[in-house]
Amino acid sequence: MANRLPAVVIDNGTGYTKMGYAGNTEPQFIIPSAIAIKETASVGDTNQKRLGKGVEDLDFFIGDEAINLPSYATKWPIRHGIIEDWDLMERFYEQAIFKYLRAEPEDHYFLLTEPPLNTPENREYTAEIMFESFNIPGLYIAVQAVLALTASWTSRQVGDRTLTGTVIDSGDGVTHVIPVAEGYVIGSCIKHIPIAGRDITYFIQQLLREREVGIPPEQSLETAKAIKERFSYVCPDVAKEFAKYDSDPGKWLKKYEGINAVTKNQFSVDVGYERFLGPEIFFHPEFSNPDFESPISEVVDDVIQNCPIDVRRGLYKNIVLSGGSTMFRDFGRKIQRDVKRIVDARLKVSEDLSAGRIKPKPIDVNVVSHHMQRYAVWFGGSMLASTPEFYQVCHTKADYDEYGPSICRHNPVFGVMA
Amino acid sequence: MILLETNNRIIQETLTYKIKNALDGGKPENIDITVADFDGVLFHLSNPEGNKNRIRVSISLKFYKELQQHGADELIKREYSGLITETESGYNVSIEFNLENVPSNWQELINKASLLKRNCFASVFEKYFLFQENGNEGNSRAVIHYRDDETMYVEAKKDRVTVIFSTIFKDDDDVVIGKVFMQEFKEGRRKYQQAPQVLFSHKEPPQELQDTDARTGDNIGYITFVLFPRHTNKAARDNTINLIHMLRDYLHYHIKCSKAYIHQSMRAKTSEFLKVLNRARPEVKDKEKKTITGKTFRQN
Repeated sequence: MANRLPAVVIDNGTGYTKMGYAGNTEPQFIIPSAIAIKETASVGDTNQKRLGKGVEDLDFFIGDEAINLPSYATKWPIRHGIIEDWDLMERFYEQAIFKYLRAEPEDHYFLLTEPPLNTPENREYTAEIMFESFNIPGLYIAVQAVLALTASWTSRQVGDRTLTGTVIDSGDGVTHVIPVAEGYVIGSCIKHIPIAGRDITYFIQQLLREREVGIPPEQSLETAKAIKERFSYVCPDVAKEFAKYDSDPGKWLKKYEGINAVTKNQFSVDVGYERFLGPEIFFHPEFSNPDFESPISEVVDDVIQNCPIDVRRGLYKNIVLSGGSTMFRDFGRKIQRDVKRIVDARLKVSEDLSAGRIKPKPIDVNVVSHHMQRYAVWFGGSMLASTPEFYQVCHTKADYDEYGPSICRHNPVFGVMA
Repeated sequence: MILLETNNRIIQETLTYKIKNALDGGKPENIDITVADFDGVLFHLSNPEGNKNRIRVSISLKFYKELQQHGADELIKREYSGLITETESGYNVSIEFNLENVPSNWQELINKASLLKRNCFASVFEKYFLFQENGNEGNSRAVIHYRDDETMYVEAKKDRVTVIFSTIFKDDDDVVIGKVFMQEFKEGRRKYQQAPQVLFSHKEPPQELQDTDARTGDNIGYITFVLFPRHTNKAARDNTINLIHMLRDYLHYHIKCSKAYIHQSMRAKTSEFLKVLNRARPEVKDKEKKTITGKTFRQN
């Protein structure tokens, strides 16, 4: 086909699904990965129960329309990034493709994403759905961390494009630190941090609750969220920041104006230390979670130290941020400084131990921030799917018919310009 | 969702967001979006000449030349007067919004913009509906190659308009499901007298297309709609066009949904069988058994 239609890129996250056409810079839709179905109360197997008689299988909503729908049950088919309920997911795709994207799936190639450590079986199930139900011409399943690395190419020279790096992916629920070597995730070295966007919101909410009285209780969570998104930033030194605020409060204190949903009265909140204390829990997790006390920069260093020795320099050199909770101002800079400090201290020790006979080559630590951080995964997918190479590495329908779903277990890495 | 929506959601949401932003005094942002729609349609939203206050929406249809023969240009001019702008190269129709000067009925205009594809299609139907109304017979039949290998034929008679779609089923199973689905249309007519007559023929084109180059083959289906004045009169016309120009996508959407439904019941059955298997115990081998004649034996 001369005028080939753009590929469809769908990034299914636990909370939100990002979807759109390849070649664009932003996803066309960002909707909650929720599906609202009618459920009968009768006992029995859920799978059996859901099989209606008439057109019940078409009676459902996805995305924003699925939230707060009376007489429907809202389900979240994805848990911890992994698809758990394939029946619902298949129907989710139905509407995502036909109602939102309005794509005839027989005409478009598809790029889907998967979390690191996804099982090969899940890839087969995905392939079955896409090829058998939707008759798509080609499918590629990409690892989210690799796409995040691809997205960071926008901020650098063409010659520097590499698929080796450490991805810090922080969304709403959990933060992962994922080492990737030449496009392959080093699965055994992935670490999770139980601190993410939601924890910052809770922490700010708690701070506000202690001080501000004007906030209506039922709106306190969304107020905290708005304050986090609008005013928060990362400071280099907490003690100095406190001093700065105390010496010149007028310059640093902000005001947040909100409207009470019930009475429609305006209320205002003074925003003070929350501005830098919120994101600070990444660096001092004990503030909000007493069971976990390693700061994010230590975790990053740990992860890299666990990796094979020959990739460590590459991993230090290219630390990439992805996800909404990495958007705080100076977040990358502080991680870079802290990691650098740890690394330099380690080099110093080995130098001292050798009594000055060995002079180790200094290690380059570099954290990459870029504009596309929020939808980094989707954007990386969109970039890759608009290259001609994409069509060569895709699994085609013909291959699927010839060999079966097992061909989708392996998706070759591509995109590094040789 | 039984019926597909007629308008394009992406166009509608993007424009609404941009115009709302402009009305609230926000800074205009760069826009450059390429999106697809059914039937190989491409939309392109961009800022002409890099001016962020102007948003141009262009549509590209592969078969626009054929639509032009049936007055697509006039219809577009009628529907989008004041919005039409110089056509972007590589596209067929362009309309433009200016964020510095947003008209008060912008919501209506956005809605119209999102119906761009529908309106391009509408010209053929409107023309032939008019022929039928005026009793013009003997006009040649309109042939629209709306996809690479699928064709639509429209023909007007004094008392009816016939619309024939050819469609390709890429998968063998689709043919079966499609057939069953189309049979339901016939059943539906029994219940609703006012519904148009629908005929479905598989492999062979219907009588009307006997002398044309209509393709035959195992995976080709022809759907014939006979629209009576009840459907083509001025009041019902728009709704008819809305529904009929989406028919091919509607059919394929439902084939896919049916398959998803079948998969669902297959999964349910599998989990049921797995439960049975899990309950099963291996037979105790070392036991005396009796044959029907009364002999006993041991199996080992």
